[in-house]
Amino acid sequence: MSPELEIRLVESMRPLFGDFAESALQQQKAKLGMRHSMGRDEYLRLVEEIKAMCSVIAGPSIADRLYQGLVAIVQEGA
Amino acid sequence: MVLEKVESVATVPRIRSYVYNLDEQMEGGIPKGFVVLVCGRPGSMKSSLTYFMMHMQALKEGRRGVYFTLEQNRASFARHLSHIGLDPDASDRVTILDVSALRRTFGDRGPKGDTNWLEAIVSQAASFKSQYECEIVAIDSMSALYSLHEFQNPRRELFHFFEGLRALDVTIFLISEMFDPTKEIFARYEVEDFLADAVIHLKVDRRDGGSNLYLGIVKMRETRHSRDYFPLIVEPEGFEIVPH
Repeated sequence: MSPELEIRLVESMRPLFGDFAESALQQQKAKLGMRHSMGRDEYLRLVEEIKAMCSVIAGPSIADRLYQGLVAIVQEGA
Repeated sequence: MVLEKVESVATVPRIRSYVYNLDEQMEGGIPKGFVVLVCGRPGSMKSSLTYFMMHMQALKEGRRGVYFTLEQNRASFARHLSHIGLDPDASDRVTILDVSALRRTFGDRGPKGDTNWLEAIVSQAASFKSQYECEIVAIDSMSALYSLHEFQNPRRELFHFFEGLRALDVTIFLISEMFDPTKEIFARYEVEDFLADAVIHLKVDRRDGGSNLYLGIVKMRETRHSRDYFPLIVEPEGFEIVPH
């Protein structure tokens, strides 16, 4: 996957996570035991986790919208 | 010349509050794009009233909004709203964004330990508007925001904060807690009411074991408005003021 993928994911998370967008992404990666060289399926698992976290902080409706955007980014990057 | 001026005042686009009888007291609503201070002592229903206005704007006019809660968690706030007849799930157009959860998870100092919270919240609101096209933003509360920000020069920093908010070109509600029961100080640094375009004051009158709420429009630029305080009633159908 492109190294720019995570930058795009973080930017997409910024409206909901603000300055904590990158920390949130890294925290979920660590939680899933993910390191470097992640493939498409791992990123899809990651965005599922981000959706769950977003649902807590902003509700299921906007979490779903974020999720759709993140999945699209992962699919484009695959 | 006079006629032209009257016409320009009349055509200011306004956001209706949907508080029954209130919009008539301020030429039809709050001018769009204003920064509005909603202030009052604890228990004066500042948050509920603000959310109600956003909720009604979403339901009746389809306007999207984001409500930043800096101290009360989202679930607790949603339960409170449900108790007063406001269902946050009735519309997906108002997002309650729980910054308190982010603070609990990641700490108050931000990822690099030096977050400027005044700038961060403006930046996040801009980012939200850009991605989700919102027209109304609420920040609850100013006191919580102040507890996160280390001021060097409050007057100067607040000037830039308000200018940053105004540049977002959305209508902003800032919830401000009043602490001193003996003084009419609308916000901590006593400059916020000068910087804001409008000030809505909620008063609680506690006497004889009872408690009554009053709403006053202390200030609203570009608007001929009443300066009276009106009894504020909260019914299952919504908020209402009682004109004299």
